[in-house]
Amino acid sequence: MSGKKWTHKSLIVAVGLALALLMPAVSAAANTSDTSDARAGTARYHRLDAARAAGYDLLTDAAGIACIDNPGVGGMGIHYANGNLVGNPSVDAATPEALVYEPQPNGRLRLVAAEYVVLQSAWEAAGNSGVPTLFGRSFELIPSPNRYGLPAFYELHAWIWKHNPRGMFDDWNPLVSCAAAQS
Amino acid sequence: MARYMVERIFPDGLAIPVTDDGAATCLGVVDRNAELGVTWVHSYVSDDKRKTFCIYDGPDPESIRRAAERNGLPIENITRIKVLDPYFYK
Repeated sequence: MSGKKWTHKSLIVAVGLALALLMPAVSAAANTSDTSDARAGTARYHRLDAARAAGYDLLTDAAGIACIDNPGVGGMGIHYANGNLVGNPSVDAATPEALVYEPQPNGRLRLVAAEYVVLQSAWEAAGNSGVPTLFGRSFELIPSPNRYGLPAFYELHAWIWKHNPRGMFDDWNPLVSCAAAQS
Repeated sequence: MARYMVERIFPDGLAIPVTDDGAATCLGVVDRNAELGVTWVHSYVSDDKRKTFCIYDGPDPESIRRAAERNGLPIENITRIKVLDPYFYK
């Protein structure tokens, strides 16, 4: 009898614990309204020609490499950046400074992520302190010198169009490959 | 913006060729959805291709229905959903 009661209490505790664990995750999902804005703002860029027409140009690193990866960790893909947006200190989920595409075996590029970029100098010149944030996440500072030959900048990736096992906002996605890249 | 699961039934099976025409068909859906503030995130297709479970962002179910009409797509059911996944964003 007492054993049965204990089991019943254990069940209640277990259910309560499970709900407690689940609730933050569901609450965190409310944050997806921002990622919804990001998807709505970038859906038309599934067409690369639309992205180009909107001012997004191919970005290569200082060595001329277009498809960025980190063997053993993951890939990023090929970045198309909008120079006008990069020079602007504002951050808007619907208008990322860069679009990230993964080269496909058929030669096409698949839109996989958005990258938000703010030059540190522009950010500070606008009177901001701290670091930019979006989706409840802080940007990462990429100091200069860096592989892109850019001045120091803040950046945040959002894998809004392809699942990333390392997390929605990790820089590297192990499911993204540069194997099909032309260069 | 809310998220919805849209269930569709295709009695004869969904047939989108893996060709340029097929890609154009999918991108056409994206364009027509955008006119109504609706975003197709992705879909899951049953093995027999007769049922799809489509994840959409949109302002309300009516917008989802209007987008489906414009795209000539059937709707069996629309359910407002929230995401639960292994990530804790904050």
